[in-house]
Amino acid sequence: MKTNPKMNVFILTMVILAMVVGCAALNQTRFDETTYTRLTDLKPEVARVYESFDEPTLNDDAVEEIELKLDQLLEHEKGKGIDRNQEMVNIVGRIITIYTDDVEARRKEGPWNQTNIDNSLAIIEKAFDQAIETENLKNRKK
Amino acid sequence: MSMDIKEIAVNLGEEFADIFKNELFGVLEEAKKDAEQIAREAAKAIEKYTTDLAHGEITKDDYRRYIKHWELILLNEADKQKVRTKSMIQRLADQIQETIWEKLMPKLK
Repeated sequence: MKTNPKMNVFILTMVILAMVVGCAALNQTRFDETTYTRLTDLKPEVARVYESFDEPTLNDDAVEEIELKLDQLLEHEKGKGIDRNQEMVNIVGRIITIYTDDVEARRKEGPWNQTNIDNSLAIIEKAFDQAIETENLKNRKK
Repeated sequence: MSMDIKEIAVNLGEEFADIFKNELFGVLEEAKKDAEQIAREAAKAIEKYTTDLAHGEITKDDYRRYIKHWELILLNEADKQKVRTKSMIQRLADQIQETIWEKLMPKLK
């Protein structure tokens, strides 16, 4: 077959373009199965703690265990690089704020009524759903 | 021979335009749907909190805490949309790369 230098230059240009486009897209972390699993596992665990907020005494062990898991998740997200994962760091940080505020309010107010539990639980579950959906958006297989 | 290159370039350009158009419309549609959904949920929640407060089922502090948390939920939504856009760029890059490899590499002599 006859060699076509112009065609080869054109193809080389396109290949370089493909590489540049690929590099430009590297400013976001890929879907992380660990993050997804941790979030989906933590959501029902958090719900269980909230559902116990009507009891006379607060289950400090359970509350602190969740705090630790949330802190570990935040560190996991930060470890991927703040520049490339700022959004998930923000979202997990906000979940921690919501959780901490609620626990503090429960400590201050004493046992909650069902309305307070339902309202607060709906908010933190929404925040978890947002985090799960956000991580899932990075899944290229979907 | 330069005509071949021109034709290929035009075809590639059209293909990239289609890929971009489809991705962009998809992202805009999803973002719009999410924005409408979150606005509805926030309005419904605040209406409920107001009723709960009026009935004495929650305190003013509880009400303030819920509102503060809804502000965080709205910020989360903004971050979610940023990730959606970045993911679109990644998918575009993938498709552009794929198209270039598939269409041009066989022509390399």
